[in-house]
Amino acid sequence: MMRRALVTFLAVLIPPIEVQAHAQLRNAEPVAGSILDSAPAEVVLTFNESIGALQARLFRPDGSAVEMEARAEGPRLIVPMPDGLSEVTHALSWRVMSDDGHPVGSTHVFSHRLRDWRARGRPEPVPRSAAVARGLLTVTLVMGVGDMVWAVLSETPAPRVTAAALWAIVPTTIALNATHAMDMTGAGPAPLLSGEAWAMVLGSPVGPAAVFAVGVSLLALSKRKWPVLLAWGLAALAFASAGHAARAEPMVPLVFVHAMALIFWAGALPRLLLALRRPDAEALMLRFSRIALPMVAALVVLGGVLEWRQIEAVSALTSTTYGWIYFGKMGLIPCVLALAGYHKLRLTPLLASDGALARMRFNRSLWLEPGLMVLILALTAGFRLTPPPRAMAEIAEARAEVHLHGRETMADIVLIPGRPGQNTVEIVTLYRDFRTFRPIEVTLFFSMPEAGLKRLEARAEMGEDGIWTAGAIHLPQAESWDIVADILITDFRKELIGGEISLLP
Amino acid sequence: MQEKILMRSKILATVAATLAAPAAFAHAVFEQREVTQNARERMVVRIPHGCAGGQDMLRVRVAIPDGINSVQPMVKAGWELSLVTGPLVEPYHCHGAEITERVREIIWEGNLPDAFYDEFVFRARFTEALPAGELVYIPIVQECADGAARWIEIPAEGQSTQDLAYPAPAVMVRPAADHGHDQGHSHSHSHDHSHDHGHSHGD
Repeated sequence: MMRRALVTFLAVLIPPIEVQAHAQLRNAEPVAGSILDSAPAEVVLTFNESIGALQARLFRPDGSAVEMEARAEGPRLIVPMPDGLSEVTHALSWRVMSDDGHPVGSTHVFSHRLRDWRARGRPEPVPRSAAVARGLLTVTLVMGVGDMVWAVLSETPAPRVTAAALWAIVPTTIALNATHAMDMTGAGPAPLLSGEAWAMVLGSPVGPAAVFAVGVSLLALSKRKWPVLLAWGLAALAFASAGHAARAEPMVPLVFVHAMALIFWAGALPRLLLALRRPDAEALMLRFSRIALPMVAALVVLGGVLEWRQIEAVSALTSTTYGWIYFGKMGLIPCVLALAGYHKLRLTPLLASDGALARMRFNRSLWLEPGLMVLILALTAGFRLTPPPRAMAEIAEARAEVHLHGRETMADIVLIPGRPGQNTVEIVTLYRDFRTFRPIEVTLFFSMPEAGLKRLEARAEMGEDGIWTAGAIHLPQAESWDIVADILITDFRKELIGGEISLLP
Repeated sequence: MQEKILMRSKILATVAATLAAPAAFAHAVFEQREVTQNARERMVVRIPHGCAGGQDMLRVRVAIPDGINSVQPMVKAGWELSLVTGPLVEPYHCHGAEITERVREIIWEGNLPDAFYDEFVFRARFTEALPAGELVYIPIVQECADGAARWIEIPAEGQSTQDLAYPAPAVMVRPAADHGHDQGHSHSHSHDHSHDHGHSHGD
């Protein structure tokens, strides 16, 4: 039965459990719609967080590919373009490493001298091999450690399959590193023969995490109380620091408790089924429900809070896939609670009066609990495949944009939220040939002469991410504002570029 | 498209006008109104005050555009003088030696209280690379403890210096030939000119 449980878990629980938000592409230069007279000197992709450059490969129209030298500067990936790009469409396939060590890749399609520049990202399918390895590692770790915890707490010997799951962590880890290396190079298994790919993996957060997982499994394999409890804490800590729900807010302690409860619940529950055959089932059941009930409560409450943090707005519940998954998951939780209550309040007392009947019912309904749990975990895994609204909001939030074109420079200006009232302004400055540069000062002027609104001035400051921002500036009316960017290029050269920006109603 | 450009220049003009409005400052200018091609001219920078907020000026920087060679600043008591040089676009020969560098910037460092006026002098040769009949803009930056007054704005097409808040000082370039028969007229306009005609090709 235990084996069947494990197989079910492995089949369903392919992606790992924690909610993650990887680096998201926010901006690409050259931008869509600008007129390109000559081939760009470089392509600059700006993300919502710092990234590491992994790979950039330029596909020529004939299908041949050239490796490009890409460099990362904070949140930007800069890919210098070779001289003499032909006047047709090229595809730049890029791959970067998120802050959390996860590679993200996409393809940027562009053409030049075609009077319009089409740059669009096409998301790649989630790399399956890496996700499988990661899922396996998560499941083996959770089930192995969790069951070991239950074994030491209930003072029952752990079955062989638990030890096997823990031992399996070693090869799983190697597999994970290998798939991660393939994921990072994007070149299949060939680079695995070279040391370079492995060094890259060990240098990424995945490498140390894998070593950590092996350490935890060895601790748990000692089968002694305190090392096992330590392994429990460490495994939860690993989730808390690597799980990226934690990164949104200072929520590490919440994730930690959530992870501890999850590990215990997921690991111990399947074993209870075996325990039902034992003569001391009643005592075990009582002991389990004493520990499990607060654990389930912690899981429900903290899980709800943590995922809610990723949603933030009620409207996102129904308007995003993430929200629907959240709905589904929260809907299942009362079922689990009801079941847990039924077990504790009805069946556990029944064990005393009519052991055989109670055992039969336990046997039937206790399976529902892991079943529901698998469903919940599967939904949670779904979170991982859908970007949370919090990250989406950064990209899709309401904004008004304008591209200003000067003699020497250009500026892309984004007003957030782009509605009347307080706005912050983001400014990206470029030379006419699309090279980025760092101005000395940038000042914006807004005016609406027809409405008699006086000139508003906003001095921009450069942030650590290299993006100039100004504001909050209060623009009292909707409709169209005249905007002028005063860009100090060098101490002695500046340019005033003007245009119009329309606010959203 | 045409309409859009017109619209843009209209916007630029109105905004430039509104930008210019609050500038009650007297501008940094040259005493000279015009210079002659291939002549060595004595240029006087007039600084009427410090930066905004009544700050003392600590530094004045003059950016020398391409086409102005043989730059020699005049030393000034109480002010430390330094030069920034750079490669010359078209190296030339002078007394048998090849000149490959030129002065790109003159910097005087000292202190000019906001209430006072001062002048800074340099000599330079205005070559034929500067088209005759056009203005040459020589940007000047006054630096203070906190901020700067940058006289560096160059009018766009259809604009004049009056449309700008901080225009770069400019002088009109007169052709060398014109200068030959129009000497008297030229001098009646600019009293301080010291045209070194004999040195026009041998600095």
